[in-house]
Amino acid sequence: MIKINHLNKTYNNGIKVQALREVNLVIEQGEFILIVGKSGSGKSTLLNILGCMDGYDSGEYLFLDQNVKSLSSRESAQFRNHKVGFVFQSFQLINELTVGENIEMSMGIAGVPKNERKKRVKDLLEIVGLEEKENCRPLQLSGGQQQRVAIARALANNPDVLLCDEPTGNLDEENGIKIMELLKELNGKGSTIIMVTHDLTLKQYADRIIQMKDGRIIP
Amino acid sequence: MQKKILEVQSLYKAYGRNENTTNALNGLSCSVLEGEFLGIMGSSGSGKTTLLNCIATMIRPSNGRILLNGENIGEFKGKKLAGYRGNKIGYLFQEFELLDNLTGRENILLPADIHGEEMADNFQELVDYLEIGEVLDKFPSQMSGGQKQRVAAARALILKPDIILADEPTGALDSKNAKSMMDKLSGLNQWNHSTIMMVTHDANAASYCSRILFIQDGVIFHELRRQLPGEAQHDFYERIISVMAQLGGGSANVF
Amino acid sequence: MFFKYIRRNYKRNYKENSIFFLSLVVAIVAFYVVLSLEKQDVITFLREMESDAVNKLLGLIPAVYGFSLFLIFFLIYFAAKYQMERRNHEFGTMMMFGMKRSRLFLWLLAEDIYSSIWALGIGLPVAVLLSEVVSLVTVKIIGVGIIGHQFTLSLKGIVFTVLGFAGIKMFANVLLSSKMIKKEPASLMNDVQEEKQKEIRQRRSAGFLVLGILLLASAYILAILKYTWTGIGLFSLTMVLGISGTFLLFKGICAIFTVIVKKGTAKERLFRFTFRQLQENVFLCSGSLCVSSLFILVAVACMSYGVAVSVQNIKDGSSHSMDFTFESYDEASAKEIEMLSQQKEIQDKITSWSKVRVAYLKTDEWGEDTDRMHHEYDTSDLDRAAAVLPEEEQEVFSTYYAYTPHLIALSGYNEILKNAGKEPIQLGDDEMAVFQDSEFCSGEIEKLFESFLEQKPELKIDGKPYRLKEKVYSEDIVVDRSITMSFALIVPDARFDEFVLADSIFTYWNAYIDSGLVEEKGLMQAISLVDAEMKKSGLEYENYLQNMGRQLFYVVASSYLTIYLAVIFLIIANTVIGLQFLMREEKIRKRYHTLVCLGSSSDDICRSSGRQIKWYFQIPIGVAAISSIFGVWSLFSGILPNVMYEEMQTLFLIAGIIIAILFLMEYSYMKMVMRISKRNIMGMMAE
Repeated sequence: MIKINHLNKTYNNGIKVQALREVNLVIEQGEFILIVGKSGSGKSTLLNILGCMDGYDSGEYLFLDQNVKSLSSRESAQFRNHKVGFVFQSFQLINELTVGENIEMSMGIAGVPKNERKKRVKDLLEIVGLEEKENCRPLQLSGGQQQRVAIARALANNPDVLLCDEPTGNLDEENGIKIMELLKELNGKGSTIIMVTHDLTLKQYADRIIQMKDGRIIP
Repeated sequence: MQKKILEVQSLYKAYGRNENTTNALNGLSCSVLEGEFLGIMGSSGSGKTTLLNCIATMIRPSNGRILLNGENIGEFKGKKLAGYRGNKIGYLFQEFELLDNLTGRENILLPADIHGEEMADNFQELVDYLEIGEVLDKFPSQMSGGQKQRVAAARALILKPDIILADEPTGALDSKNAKSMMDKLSGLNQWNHSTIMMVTHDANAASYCSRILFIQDGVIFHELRRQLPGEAQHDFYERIISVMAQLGGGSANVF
Repeated sequence: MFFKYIRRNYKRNYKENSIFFLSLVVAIVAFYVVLSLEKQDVITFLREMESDAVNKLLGLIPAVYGFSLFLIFFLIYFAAKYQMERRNHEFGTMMMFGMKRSRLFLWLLAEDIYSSIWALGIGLPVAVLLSEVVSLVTVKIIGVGIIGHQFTLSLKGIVFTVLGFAGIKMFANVLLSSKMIKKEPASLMNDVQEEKQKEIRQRRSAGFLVLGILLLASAYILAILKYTWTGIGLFSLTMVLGISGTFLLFKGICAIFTVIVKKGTAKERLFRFTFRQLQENVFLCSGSLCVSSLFILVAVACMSYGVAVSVQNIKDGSSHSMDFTFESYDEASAKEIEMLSQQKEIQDKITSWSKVRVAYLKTDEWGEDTDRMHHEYDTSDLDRAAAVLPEEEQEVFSTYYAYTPHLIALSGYNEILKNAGKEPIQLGDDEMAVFQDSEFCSGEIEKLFESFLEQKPELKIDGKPYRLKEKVYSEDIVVDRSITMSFALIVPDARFDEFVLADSIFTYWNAYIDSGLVEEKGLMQAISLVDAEMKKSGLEYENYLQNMGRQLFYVVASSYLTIYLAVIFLIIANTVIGLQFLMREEKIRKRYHTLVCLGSSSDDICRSSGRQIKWYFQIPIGVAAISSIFGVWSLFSGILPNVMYEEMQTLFLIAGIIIAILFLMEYSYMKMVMRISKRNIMGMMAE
């Protein structure tokens, strides 16, 4: 489903840093992948590129056999809207909006009509077990709850892939486990999950583990 | 009988509301004696960071008491609380970095600046011991990682706090600087009689301690005391490793 | 759904950026007031009399407006850039959701339009109201009953204000949005911009400071020397020295803080931190502080200039005497005027007429007609008297009497004096009195004449000496400018007939309106009424309103324009200072966090911040204040020397008012910044 060949990326903020070196990767549909490595190993950069959130310098990224780099700005936006869902370490919910409004954001962007949106929000909240919280503000919820809202939001447009960047990083052990269980459940239902973390104890959930160091994948 | 500097009594800390509560600290009790070098270890999520943050007054516990020299600091608010931080309690936390627009000297004297104290009389002693004389008039951007951490240590000690709380003090240092840092801390504990409570996952660092508490699921799970005199640091280190392996957690899991 | 979000964003932005919003509203008000100038009562009134000058003024307005739009554009760009960068994270999230860039762009456009609507919605009504108030107040100041009041809305003003303001705001936002949407979402979300640490080098800064002070000092010295105003070369040099001096001063002023920090007592909490932080702010923002300071200086200079011009043109007001002046030069023209004066409608309203005869003394200057009588005009004794005056004044002074003067018949002049309620002049056969038009006469010149006349100078005509009386007379003989004389001699009638040629005599007929009518209808109405009748005669004449009008025009024009420009400059300067400070504070949040953890209370931090704000404002203001003392001093001594000596009291009063207003303005901005900063700090503490 996802093919990456010879991917290279360098950051230039006054000092040049090569974030990714000759990365080659193949991910099949329905896999639960864990990408591990120290901070600075390039794993978050890789995730951003997978989600079309960032560009790359050389190499190839094929998503369902389509070259992602050739996508126009509009098509990239659609890609992010439909094909992938993001979950971040710090939740990244918009605090001025309610939980329901946060979840329906991507649907609103996709132009889904209002009542359909409302219905889907309810369904999603049920999946993550937060039905009664629809009208709360994110800051009124605990960390674990906020992350679950973030997952619901990521699932809103039925993406092909869920990209998670340290989703349990800001959570204590118990909530972390709950989130992993949820993700495993979603994976069981068919979602492809690519997760970046530095916590090796989570490896039990994954089908495959990819290790990164200094911008390379270690076989 | 040595005086108890710090006493933690049945500390609870819960996160979340109603059905979704998680107890980070589950009735944890422990104490720190004057002049001890105490280590706290445990896997991530065990509650050790929460414990340190409670003692550091960064967060308020849900239940239980924390007595520093007999006073319940868990209940302090506002000005009283501010008066304790950086003054009676010294910090060597990774997040409290040096202020990059102050010189080394000004950074060390920052607690004095904050609490309106006169120039500290132990300034020169600390500077000499920590060997940071040459960076006193430099800015942090001109210092190495090791020097910065030592300046931070001097800052932690300048107002002669009752206890120093250290959170992974060697976390950002390479092995050589880490060893140097721990040597200095250990020296401060022995020569200056500073009471130090250090959270770490690094067994090497922990081997400098005189006593180690292992935390799991919000309570003290195990305690190791270094047998002094006699037990070599290396042997103590081995003992620590074996306990950690038993816990199934520890440094093997975290990069 | 997005509209709701736009509304909420607007509220949030408004709260966080009240300074900026306020500045925008003030700008809108200023724009409208200037654009609607032609609808001001004063201007409508003036237009009738000084249509040329008024039209020229009104023609200036588009240029002034355009210039200020240009300046405000930069302000908006600067402030909007700051706001945008704060929201980078939010934008990244939107893009992450898959929002198309074009959509994001349109969204931001919608937000911009929405906030413009709000700003205009508040600003325009205030502007219209203020415009009315200003109009009424101006009328009051000028004099009750002179001008009537009409409420008019300037449609043109509204349209152009809306277009101009919304236009530049939209343009700025479009520029910024386009730049933002080109970025990758990931870079927007990982917003942490690590600032490159610019090092403060003590010695280099101290060097800049010293150099800056030296340059400024030399600029000051040049400024107060009189001959700086003589040539563009010296003037530009002063400017260059001044600007570069100010720039270097600001670049180097951070050196002072190192000294303060070292010498400070630790007794005050956070003392060292406060000043180090201040030092960093000043160091990193020296450029914009310099510009703000210069803007404040310009604002003060503008206002002083406006005040000076106004004061110079406001005469005592009690110089109103006659209302109309007609001129006749022969029997026929005299007859016409006589007939007019006997018309019933005129007789009803005009209580008296005075006639003054004026003619040149015939001397051989008038070369051609050799068969005419010539008189000898000997001024040698006058030169002797003039020798007592200070050297630099002598040359100018002698030009007064060097050339053949006008002669004024005594009887006519005494009529003028009688109508003005003054004592008539008694002249002996061998005496003459000096006359000077009030327009030329100033306190300084009067003093010169006094010293001159004390010497008892004697004028010789045809060999006979005539003594000049000790006093200079300047009661005007015409209502406006039918004739202007910088030096004339009032002579007894007999001498007058002797010295002039009958066919070269001009007679000025002055009409005085019945005071009862003036009281009943008000001065302007009364004059207009009579004027209507006078017009019918087809004769040429001038009236009091033309005189008054001219003065008024200069006062109004200069004060309106200069106050407007001053306001614009002040808004920009203060907003820049305030926003820059808040921007810096945002970037150093982490430091405040560390301070709290090390034991600072929120009070301590707010106090530290407050102190920083005070210094941060007072440094550019202080520099501007010092520079403006020299600048204004220079301005007055160079361009308007007369004003200085005469109207000292009025000047001081007005200066005091201006300083009070400026002080108030600065104080409000400072307080506002402090309030916002406090709110930010409290918000941070809650985290």
